[in-house]
Amino acid sequence: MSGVTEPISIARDFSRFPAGRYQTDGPYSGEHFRKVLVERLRERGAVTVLLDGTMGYGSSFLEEAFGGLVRKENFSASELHRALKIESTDPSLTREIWSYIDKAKPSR
Amino acid sequence: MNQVPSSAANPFPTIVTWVLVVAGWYLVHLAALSRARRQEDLDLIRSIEGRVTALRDRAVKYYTGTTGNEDPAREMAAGLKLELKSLSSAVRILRRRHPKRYDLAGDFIALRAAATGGQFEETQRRPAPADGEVIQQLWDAADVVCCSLRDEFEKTHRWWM
Repeated sequence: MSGVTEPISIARDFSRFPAGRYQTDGPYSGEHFRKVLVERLRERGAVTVLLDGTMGYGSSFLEEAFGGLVRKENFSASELHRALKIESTDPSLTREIWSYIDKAKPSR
Repeated sequence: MNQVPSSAANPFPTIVTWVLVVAGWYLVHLAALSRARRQEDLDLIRSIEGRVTALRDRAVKYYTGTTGNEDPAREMAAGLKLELKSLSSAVRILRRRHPKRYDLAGDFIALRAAATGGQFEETQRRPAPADGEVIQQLWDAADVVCCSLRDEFEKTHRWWM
């Protein structure tokens, strides 16, 4: 864990058109982005995600990408509050993401 | 011998008159300003309400539509996401004008979740029944946003303000 939080810009590093929940729904789905996030989180311990610059987000993408960290990847919400930083010019988007993380329950 | 006018002898009534005139002008100016702000807010709120209703109808069409993840559905999904983004910005204008009011983040999250959550953009998406839960949630979420806007407006612009 290096502690360096290199930001991931979804628009720059992933896609300007994030869409879909599962990988079967398309190449830039929430499930795919979650895998990118998990890799970064395990590699570096902390991640900053920049949300601006995309065409917009569907709730299904956000829930799968961020809520899925708790449901499917065994991260706890408190752990994510420490390790994950989410930045956006739209504060309701950040609140939405944290609400998915806080409400999610681990599947096992 | 000429008589000195009473106002020259005692300037107090003239000063009082001027103070009252200036105060009256200032009050009228404040009232006009408040009316203009009220009207601006009302226009913006009406336009947001219209757009929320249109978005609800488009989302209903999206969910009840028979197309899967084909091009028209994709286009519709992209349009809905963009519209939600733009609506959030419109509400932020109200927030900037009245920093302690119009905190509709919770209501907008519910509307976003209703419009773009669930099976949104999934390949396996199946047409929802017109009287189903998804559609009901959409109607409720859109209603709540519109009611909250009106409530906040009433609280911001009381009749004496």
